[in-house]
Amino acid sequence: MFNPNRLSLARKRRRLTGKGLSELCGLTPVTISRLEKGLNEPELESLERMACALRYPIDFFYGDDIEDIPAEAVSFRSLKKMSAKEREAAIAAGGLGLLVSDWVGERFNLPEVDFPVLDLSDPEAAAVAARQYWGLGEKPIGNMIKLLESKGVRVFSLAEQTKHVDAYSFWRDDVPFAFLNNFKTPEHSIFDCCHELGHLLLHRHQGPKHHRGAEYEANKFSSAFLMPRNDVIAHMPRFVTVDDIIKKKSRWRVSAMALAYRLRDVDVISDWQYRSICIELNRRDYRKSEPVGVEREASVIWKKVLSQLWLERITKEDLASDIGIPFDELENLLFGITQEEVLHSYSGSRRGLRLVS
Amino acid sequence: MPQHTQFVEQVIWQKEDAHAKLKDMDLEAGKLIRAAIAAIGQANNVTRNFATNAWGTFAYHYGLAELRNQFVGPHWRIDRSEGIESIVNDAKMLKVTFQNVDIAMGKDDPKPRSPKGAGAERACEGNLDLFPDYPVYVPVVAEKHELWSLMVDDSGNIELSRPVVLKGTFVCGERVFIADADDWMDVDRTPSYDAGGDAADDFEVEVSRKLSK
Repeated sequence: MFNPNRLSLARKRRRLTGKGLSELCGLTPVTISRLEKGLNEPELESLERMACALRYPIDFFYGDDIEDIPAEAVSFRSLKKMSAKEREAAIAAGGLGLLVSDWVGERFNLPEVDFPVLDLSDPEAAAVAARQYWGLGEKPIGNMIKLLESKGVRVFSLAEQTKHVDAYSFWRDDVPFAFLNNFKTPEHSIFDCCHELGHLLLHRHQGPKHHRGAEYEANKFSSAFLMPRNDVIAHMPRFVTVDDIIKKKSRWRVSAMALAYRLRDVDVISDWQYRSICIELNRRDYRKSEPVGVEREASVIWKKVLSQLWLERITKEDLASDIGIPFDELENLLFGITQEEVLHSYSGSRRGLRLVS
Repeated sequence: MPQHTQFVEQVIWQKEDAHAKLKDMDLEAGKLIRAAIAAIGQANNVTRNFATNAWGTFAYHYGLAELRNQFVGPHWRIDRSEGIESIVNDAKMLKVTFQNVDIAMGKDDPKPRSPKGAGAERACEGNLDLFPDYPVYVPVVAEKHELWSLMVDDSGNIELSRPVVLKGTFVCGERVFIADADDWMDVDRTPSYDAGGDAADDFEVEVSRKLSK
């Protein structure tokens, strides 16, 4: 049976308005609207035209309802700059992520959720407590996504091609989910990842609508979690220059700006120095990019799943088809991890396994 | 006029002896170091877009301000007489200025980064007892404070010395060695992250096929 909810989701994913879709598929806007409201059943020919315009398989429109992610539960940092289309598309990606997660969850054992219960409102204290709970001490985090996945978070990528979407996260049936935009620099994505961890830890029980300071708190948490106070103080010179920041930022795998902010937070530099450093970093193009960057992180879980599926001769195309979503959407959600890449890493440990085209 | 100044043998207080000397002067090495920290810390923010004298200017302003932050109180007060910015201890008849120098803690006397004029020469008159044959070109005022300078070089070496001005530069009769750069700029400035280093990334991500499917 045709599912209007899925038509709406597919349209949002392609960043189309009802009118835009109607122009692409040659149906009237009223027809599209009635179909999305479930007032009409589409003719097969109409459905084919819509599916073609949306680049979604026809089967997709006959699945069960895709769980709605309430917009209020999702926190976007650049909300004011985002268009409604960008916001809806990013949230709709969450729905597809849940489909993928459910498919994988039915077939694979994934890490159990292991989150501390924090009764702390101070983000700095919460970061210290979370580090203690997970036994991380003051060490820098070598791979933030891997850490989250090992603690039970299902992490997906967003390929939204816009810098206005950072990341978002939510809890669903006691399982935490995080969606990260890969359009940003790796450092920015790592910070986003930790920012979402902050939301998941600090704001889990505050209901769908976060209070006004939630973004600030999550940023503070991220800063403190990625750059532990004592480690920063121990590893930074007592007189910090811009060059020092650029040299040292790779230790915590953060942006130069994020490290400068943290240094001011822990009183290694003064407000005056912070301002001077920001001006100089800006002059050197460090506000919008990271000229000397770190490697981009990717999911470990999805890599392992794809690896196992490959051994069973199930390709990503098969996976997309089985879930009933377009291949490009699956690619977007799984960090663009290719099975060839998985095979390469796998062939290092198992002799005789070759890529067969 | 003598060609060479005849002066009393130079007194040098090594670092290990400095504490007693400084205590006698109502000063503390730690506080003097903090003034140097402020000076170099701020001066290190200078980039190529700043004026060429910015390093010394920033170091001087922040070094002096921190010197006052650290000491002004019951024993020390701010003094600006004769255009010399300093702190003064009237009970001990001491005056301490902040001074950028070429090399501190070295074998030779530290030299100011810019030539000294008549004002500095007058300010140093309180030190003339160190140099009996020292030629004096400016009027001598009675009851001068002993002038000491916290001398900091751009590497972070610090000494507290008692200079007189001769031909626009310093000759020091007494030097108190406070700290080498290595004593307190003890953090290496090289990148400290390496993949096999102390980062935490050995997290277990267990993924396995369920048997039922």
